[in-house]
Amino acid sequence: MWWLLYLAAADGWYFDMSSTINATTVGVGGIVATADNSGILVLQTASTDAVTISAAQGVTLAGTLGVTGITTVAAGSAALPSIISTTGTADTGVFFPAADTIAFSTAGTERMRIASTGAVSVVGTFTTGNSAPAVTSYTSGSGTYTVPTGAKYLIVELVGGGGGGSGSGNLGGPYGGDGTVGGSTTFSTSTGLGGQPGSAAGGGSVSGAGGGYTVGGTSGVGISGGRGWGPTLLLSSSTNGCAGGSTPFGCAGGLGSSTTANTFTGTVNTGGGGIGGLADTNQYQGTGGGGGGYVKAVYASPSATYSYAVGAGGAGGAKATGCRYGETGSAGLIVITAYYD
Amino acid sequence: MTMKRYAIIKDGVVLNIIEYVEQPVGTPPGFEEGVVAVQEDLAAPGWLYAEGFFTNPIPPVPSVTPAAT
Repeated sequence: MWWLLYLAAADGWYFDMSSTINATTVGVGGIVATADNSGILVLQTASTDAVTISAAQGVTLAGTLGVTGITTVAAGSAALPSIISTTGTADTGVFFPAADTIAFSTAGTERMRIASTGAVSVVGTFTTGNSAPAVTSYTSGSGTYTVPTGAKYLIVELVGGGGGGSGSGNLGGPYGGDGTVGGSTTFSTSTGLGGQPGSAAGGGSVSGAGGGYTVGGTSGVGISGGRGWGPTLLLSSSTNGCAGGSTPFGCAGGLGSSTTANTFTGTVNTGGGGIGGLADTNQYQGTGGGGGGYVKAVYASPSATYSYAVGAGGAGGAKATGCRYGETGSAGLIVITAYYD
Repeated sequence: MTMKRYAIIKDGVVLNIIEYVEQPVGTPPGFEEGVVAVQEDLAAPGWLYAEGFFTNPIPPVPSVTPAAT
């Protein structure tokens, strides 16, 4: 039976005079409606078009679509993705190139794919929205390091203070004085021990050994500092003091000068051992101090804060009469890099 | 900015040598309660501190004089 309807109610079916509706029971029941002469079917709510079905069976919703079941779409392709935005062109969106596979395209070209295995492939430059790593360094003092918000892990490099060089002494004595051990550099449970001092005993028979280490953190490596240079008895000329030990963070304490006293130390904050005292005729050179121990450690899932301390370089040894002082070792260093990805 | 060497002391033993610009007030930063910092140019870790004086518990042992070269 044909019904000619015009429903002016705020909510309900709307058809113009040429429209018809077939209300019938098909199976368990329902409504069969036909569109107007243009082939367009419109459903209104609150006197506003809510659903428009075109003659080509395209459906337009004016409001929000809520689905309690599963929404299925066609597989689509890179050129014509099955899910696109109204703000772009039809060649940019999401499509499904194979079973259990999802892909994304822009400008008609596939840019990223997630395979059924979980493997993710990206075409083009891959960047993240997070910040570049945050680097913090300490060259002295002690305190508390606060981990930046959002940091996923830390890589900490540190080196202990270099040992002090010994002073130079005379043939048959008196000898110079020993240097002192360098201070330890610590970050949480990671420690780079200070280098050992150069010895002036017996005319400077023992050079300073390098400092040891404790890695700490969740993983990492450690390297002992280098040993300082040994002594030489000079019988006929003046020469530099003995070099301090090296560390992986920088150079050793350089050679002393035969013309300038007490002006050279190892490169600052490298943990280099101090230089031995200068020597002249019939004098023993002072021995070089050892370099500080080095640590590179990873702190995964870091805590909120960590304590730290930068070891000072060991003091230079005293001089014998007419000789030169040993030089101070180089202070240690801590470099912390916080990563967000 | 001049750095000075400070001995980090706990229970009369030098734990470490750290450089600070100024004397830390109270417990030096990053260390536990009971630790003090005393300005000192020559002491080293392991030395003892009592009544304002530092002493090396293991003084250097003289060794054999190396042969002249």
